[in-house]
Amino acid sequence: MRTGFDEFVRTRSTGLLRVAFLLTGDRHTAEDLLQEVLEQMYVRWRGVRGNPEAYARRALVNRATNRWRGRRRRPETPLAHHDVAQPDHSDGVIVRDVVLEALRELPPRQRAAVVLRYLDDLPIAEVAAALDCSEGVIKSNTSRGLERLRAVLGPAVFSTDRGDR
Amino acid sequence: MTDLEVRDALHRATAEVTAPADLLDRVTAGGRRRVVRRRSLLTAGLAVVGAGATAAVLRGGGGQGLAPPASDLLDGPARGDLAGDSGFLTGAVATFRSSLPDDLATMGPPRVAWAVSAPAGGLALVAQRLRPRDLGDGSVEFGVIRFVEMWSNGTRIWTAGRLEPMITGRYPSNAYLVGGVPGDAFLRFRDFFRDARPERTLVVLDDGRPVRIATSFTVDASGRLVWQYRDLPLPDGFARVVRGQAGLSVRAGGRGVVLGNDIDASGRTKPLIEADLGGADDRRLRGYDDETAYFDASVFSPWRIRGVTPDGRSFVVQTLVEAGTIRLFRFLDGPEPTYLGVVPGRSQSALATRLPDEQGIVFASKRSRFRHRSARGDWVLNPDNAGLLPPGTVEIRYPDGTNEAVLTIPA
Repeated sequence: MRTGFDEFVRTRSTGLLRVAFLLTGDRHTAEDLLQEVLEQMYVRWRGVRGNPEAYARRALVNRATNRWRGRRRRPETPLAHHDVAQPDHSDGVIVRDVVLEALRELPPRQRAAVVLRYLDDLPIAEVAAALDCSEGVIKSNTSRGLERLRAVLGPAVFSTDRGDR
Repeated sequence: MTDLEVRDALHRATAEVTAPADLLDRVTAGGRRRVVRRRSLLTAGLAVVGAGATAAVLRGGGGQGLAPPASDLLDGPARGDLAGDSGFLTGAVATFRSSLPDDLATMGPPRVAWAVSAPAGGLALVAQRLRPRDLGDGSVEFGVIRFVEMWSNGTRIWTAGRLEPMITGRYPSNAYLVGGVPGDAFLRFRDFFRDARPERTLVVLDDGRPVRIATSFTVDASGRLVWQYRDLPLPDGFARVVRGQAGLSVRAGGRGVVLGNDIDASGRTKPLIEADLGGADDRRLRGYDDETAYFDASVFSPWRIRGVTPDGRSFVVQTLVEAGTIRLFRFLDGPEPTYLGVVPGRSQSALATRLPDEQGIVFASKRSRFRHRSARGDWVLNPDNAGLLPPGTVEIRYPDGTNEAVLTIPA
């Protein structure tokens, strides 16, 4: 009945989750977001199965740009007294935190343009389709986003590479 | 920093992110629930996303012997400040006619039920009676409505919105969110009314019924939502209401109104997280949901955990989530739930509650592999994502993102 849906979820959910993670800046939120989108696709599979990935990407971007606004840290607190353990300070975690912080500084559509272009390796035309705007706008957003990312990412990420931290 | 280096940084930042193993199961279960909800709301598959779909359903209609239901939209006077503007009404009806599919089983001419001036031009609701059709569930489909806009920005441009069915006891609605709802490209109310806060603005139409509205609620001792309603005057045939963050509820003629552009509410509801600790308890919360109220998209998932206590009693622990309010219920003895209150804090990654009579602590987290300990005991590892823990448990540690969260259990 929903031919190909299971296969799509199995093969593409990690890639989509990574996009959602960078768009939202939070693992839980990213998983919830992806689950919402995939459930919606389950219902509408007949209509979206021609190009499910494009549909999923677009839905993720639309939903994520409505969520991030002003969120610095996920304000999660527990049901009772609850402390969060200390984070892991391995290099990978440092890079991740720096990248997330840098992405957080970008306006939502610049962030989405950069993530789709450089994490998903999408051509400009497909990024434009996902964001529902012209290729010129994508080029402009990507360029500005990159410029700001470079300013933040450059020293932090590469000092980690050199083992300076 | 080159483009390649940026690409590399993004890949490294996500290298450890992989989809949960049970994602497909969760998605499939959630998708099925959505299908069920859509069916229940759309009456046996009646689609409202376009004229073609509506027509396809209507073609098979019977209707012999069914009396046409009365409707203020079809039978009452036109309302609104443009109701006397014959030129506008003629244009609206012509636009409506031209947008209808050819094979609708219409009865009589269309009519303008409601016409008002808005900042961008004129807005009309046009209604068309159809040959009544028994939908087999006690309801009757008897008409269609469509909003028609006349934009007056230098020129007069007519546009037609989505065709909606009229079904006894269900549709149409007389309340619409100006900003639309997520995922629904309904009308361009957002542009048309030019509201400063369209996502928080509600348009309520006068269809002849007295309207009451509530934008805040409390929770009573039994755990039910209690809305604070007030009368809503509709002096020009409609009213615009700016709502708060607690959601809203509209009643017309004493009945709850589902927002017209909220036909498929499933996008606003987080999937239920279920944990089965044994037993076959199928007790469900009934009458605690507010099906006609509108809430913003939920950040939190509702939980449902069922199992059996050490002394052999079935239990169900369940939460309901609305507008950031998480209500906690427990079934233990008897058919009725015990309301345990609003969950403090705003956690969505774990749930814990103590059962009475020293029967233990129900715990569930979104991820598997948690550990717990008593005051003097060693850590006990649980490979699942839920468990009924000993009553002496004082601390639980569970995975929370990339960290391990600590939950201290009060004595």
